[in-house]
Amino acid sequence: MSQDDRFIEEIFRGELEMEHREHPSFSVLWQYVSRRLDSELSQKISLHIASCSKCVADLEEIKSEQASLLTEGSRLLPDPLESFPEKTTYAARGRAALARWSELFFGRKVVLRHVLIYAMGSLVLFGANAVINKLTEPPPNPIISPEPYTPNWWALWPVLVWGGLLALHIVFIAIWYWRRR
Amino acid sequence: MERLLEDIAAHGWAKESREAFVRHYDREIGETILHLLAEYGLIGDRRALRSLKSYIESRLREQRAGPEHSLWEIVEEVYMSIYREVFEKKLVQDYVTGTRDGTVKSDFVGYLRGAVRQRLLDALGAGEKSEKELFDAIIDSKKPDTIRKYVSEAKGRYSEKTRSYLLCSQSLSSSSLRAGTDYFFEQFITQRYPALRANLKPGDSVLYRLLEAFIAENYKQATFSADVLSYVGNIPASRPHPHRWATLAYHEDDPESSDEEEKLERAGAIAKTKDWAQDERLRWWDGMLRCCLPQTADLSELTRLIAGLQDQAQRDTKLCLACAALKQESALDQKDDLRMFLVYYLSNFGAPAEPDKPIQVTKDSLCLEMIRGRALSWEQIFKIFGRECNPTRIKNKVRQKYESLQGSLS
Repeated sequence: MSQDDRFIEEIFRGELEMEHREHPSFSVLWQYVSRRLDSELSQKISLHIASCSKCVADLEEIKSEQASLLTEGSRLLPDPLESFPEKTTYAARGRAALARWSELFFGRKVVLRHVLIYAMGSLVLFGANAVINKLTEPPPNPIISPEPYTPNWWALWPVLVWGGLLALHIVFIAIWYWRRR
Repeated sequence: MERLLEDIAAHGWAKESREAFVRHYDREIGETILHLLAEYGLIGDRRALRSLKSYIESRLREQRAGPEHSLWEIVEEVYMSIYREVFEKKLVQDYVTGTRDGTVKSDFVGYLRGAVRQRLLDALGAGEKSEKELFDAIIDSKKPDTIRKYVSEAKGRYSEKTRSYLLCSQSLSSSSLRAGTDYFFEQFITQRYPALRANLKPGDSVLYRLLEAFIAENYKQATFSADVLSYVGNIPASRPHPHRWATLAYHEDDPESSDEEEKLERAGAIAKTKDWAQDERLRWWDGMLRCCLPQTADLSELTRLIAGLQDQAQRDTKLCLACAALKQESALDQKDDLRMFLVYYLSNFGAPAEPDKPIQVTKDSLCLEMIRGRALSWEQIFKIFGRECNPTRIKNKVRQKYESLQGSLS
C-alpha cells in the first residue's frame, strides 16, 4: 500500500461517524421511510442517518415494522366492495348501455372503422337498390306502348342521413384533437 | 389522466371499474391513513406502533371482534369514509372535472391523499389552517393572546419538523436545540416573517424559508448566537385540535429509545465527532456524491472555514476542498471518476462495515446514506457506474490538487 493510499484512508476513516446528541423523532423517521417528507427535510435526514449508527438501526426496524403493519392491517380492514355494494337502477343500466353503444359507433378510435363501414354499407345499399330496380322493371309489352320507366333510388335517403352522421363524427374528432393540442 | 378514471367519470361505476379501482388504490389509501397517523403524532413512538400491531395480530388470530383499539377505530372510520366518498359520492368525477377545468393540478394519488387527510381531520373533529395561513395568522393578528394561540398551534404542528431540520443542519445539544426551536417560534417568526413574506415565490415552503433565514442569521461556527442560546420559551406547544385527538395517546418522548441510547453509550458504541467542521464536510461529500456542482462562492466559504481550523481538521477539510475544486474544474467523465473515488473511500472507511445490508446502490441515487458501511470494491463501483476508471490516476489527481492547495493556503 502506497503512502498516498494511507494518507487518504486516514482522512476518510470515521468520516461518517459522528456523535449526535439528538435524533429525528420516530414520526419523522417513519415519514422518511415512507418517502413522504418534503425533499428539503428528507435530504437533511438522509445526511443525519448517514452519520448516525443509532438512526440506521432505528430506520431498519421501522421499515420492517411498517411493512408488516401495512400487510396485516390491510387483511383486517373491511372489504370496500362488500361494504358499498353496486347500486344499479334501470335508468343507470340504460345509460350505461347507451354509452357503450355510442362508444362502439362514435368513439374516438372508431372513426376509420366508421368511414369504412359507411363506404361498404353505401355500396351494398346501392347494389341492392339497383338489383331490386332491375327486377321490378316491367317487361316490354308489344301491344301497349310502354310507359316510361323511372327507377326508384330509395337507397339514397339512408346513405344521405348516415353520411350526415359520419360528417358529424369527423367534426367531433377534429374538435377533440384541436382542443387537445 | 388514467383511462380508468375517465371511464368512471364518463360511465359511472361498473363491476369491473369498482374492482379495478380497489386493486389500484386500496393500498395507497391504507398506507396514507397510517402515514398520517404517524405524521400527526398518533403513532408517535414504538410503543404505540407495537400496541396497534399486537391488536391487529390478535384480531387476525382470533378471528373475532375483541375490545376496540382507539387508533384502529380511527383507521377503519377514515377508510370507510373515503370509500363512501368514492363509491357513493363523486370523488373521482370531481377529480376528472377539476383536471379538465384546470382547477386540480395534482395527479390522482396526490388528490386521494389530500382527501384522506381531510377525512382524518374530520374524524378527529378538526379543521386545519394551511402552513402559510397559520404563519400569516401569527403576524397578522393584533391581540397578544391571539398571537400566542397561533404560535402555540404552530409549535404543536411544526416543532418536530423544525427540530429535525435544525439538528440535521448541525449537531446540537438537546438544550440548545430546545432554545433554538423556542426562539424560532416565539421571536424569529414575528420579527422576520413580514419581510420574508414579501419575497416568497409561489410553491415555497414558508417554514423552510424561515428556517434557512434563521440559520443564516443565528448560527455561526457550530453554535447558535448568545441571544438564541439564552432564550427560554414561554409558550407551550398545543396539539392543534382538542376533541377526539386529546383522547388518543400521544407520546413526546420514547423511553425505549433513550434506554437504548444509554446502553449504546455505556458500551462505547456511540462514535465521537472528529472535529466541528465534520458536519460541513459531510454536506460537501453528500453534495459531490449527488453530483451537485459546487459554486465558486461556496468554495471560497470553505476556504475561509479552513483558515479557522487546525491540525487534522484542517487537513481533512483541505482534502474536501481539493475534491470540490477538482469537481468544479473537471469534464463530465472526470466528475464521475471523482464520484467513484469518493464512493470507494467513504463506503470502505467512513463507517464500520455492515455486511448484512443488501447492495441497492444506483448511480443516479447515490448519497452518503446509501453507501454508508457498504464496503464496496472497485469492481462493484465500476458496475454501478457502468464504466471503469483508473483508481491510481484519480488518487494522484486528488493528491496533486491537495498539494497545490497546501501551497496556496499556507
